[in-house]
Amino acid sequence: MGITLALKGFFSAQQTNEWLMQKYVISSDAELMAKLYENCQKDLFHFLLVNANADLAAEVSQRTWLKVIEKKHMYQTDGRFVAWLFTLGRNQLIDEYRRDSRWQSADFDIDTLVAQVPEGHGETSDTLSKLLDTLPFAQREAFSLQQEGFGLQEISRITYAPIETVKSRLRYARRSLRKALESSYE
Amino acid sequence: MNDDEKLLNVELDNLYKRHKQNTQVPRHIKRQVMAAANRADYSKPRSWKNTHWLSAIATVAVFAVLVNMFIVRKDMVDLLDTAALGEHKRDFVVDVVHRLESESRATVAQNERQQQLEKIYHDYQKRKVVLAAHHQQAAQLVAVSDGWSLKTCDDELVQISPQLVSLFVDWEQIETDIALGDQVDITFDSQGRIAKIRRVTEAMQC
Repeated sequence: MGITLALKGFFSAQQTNEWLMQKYVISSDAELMAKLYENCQKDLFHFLLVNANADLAAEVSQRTWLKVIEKKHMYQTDGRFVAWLFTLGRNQLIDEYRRDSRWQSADFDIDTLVAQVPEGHGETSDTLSKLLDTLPFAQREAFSLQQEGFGLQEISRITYAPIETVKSRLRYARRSLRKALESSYE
Repeated sequence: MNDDEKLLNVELDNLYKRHKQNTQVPRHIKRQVMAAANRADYSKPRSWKNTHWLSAIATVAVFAVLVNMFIVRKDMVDLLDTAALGEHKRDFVVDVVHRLESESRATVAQNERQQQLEKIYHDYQKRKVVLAAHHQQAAQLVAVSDGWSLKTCDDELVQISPQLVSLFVDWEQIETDIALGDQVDITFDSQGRIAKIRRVTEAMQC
């Protein structure tokens, strides 16, 4: 009984997202992709939903997973799978914003990309959505990445920003959100 | 950071968690993703793209080409023989193969040819006593690939193995200047074995 549990524990410990992805890179086994999708789908979609409207989040989420299948050979084993997934997702989202006619005329600056983005947030206008609407895109994505469990180093890699910049974005984001939350109570 | 700010931070974290818990991922995303994953999965069989099918088709195609090459080659040999004879068609009803008892095609090696000829010669020498001419038959040399093929007036195809031809040449029982299409006289002994093949210059009398 003890041996069975130990073996079960050993094999379940082996099936991390990184292990699944490494196996998927080699085998292209759809079942491995299904497990990866089940493990990470909600994290990615929620991150995108916080930073875009529902339609765009769904579209970008789907495209990101297709990229994972298509570009599996690009996966590097030195980091967490979910960090690579979010990097792909974030890149897809930024590409969408760049393609959007509203952003083609002006220089694209992530720090000036503000509340116009989440048009669809009205559908789920809960407290968090209203609070996040007050943040610039860069602060919102830094805050949401932190909430999704990423450390400063990982956020820096995902957003291609220096760690100090990430820190200041997080500081400003929290300060703004606290103020907005306080005022919502009054 | 004061206590109020800490409480607000905790409240923000809780808001984020609740928001995430209430979020539902659209199901169509999974359908699309898994469809793509299945397409990319080499291990899954897929209709006409199945690699097993491709292997089977490739094998059949190669086999067909080989069979075709064999048929074409055989036709070409027949065509060349016909062209050499100046005939359009060869009709043979009976095949008679003349081969020595000691001959075995499988055991004949090119580098042992001389030794084998000597053996065959001795073998034939033992039967020399019966090699008295018994009867003759007029024929035409119609093929020289893999031994000789001689067509008789009775539409009989007399085949002589390469070893026996070599023996007859060495033993001078075949004239060396016989060419494809030439008329010959085949001399048989009383037991039906070929004793001599001689070229004749006059037209075949059938």
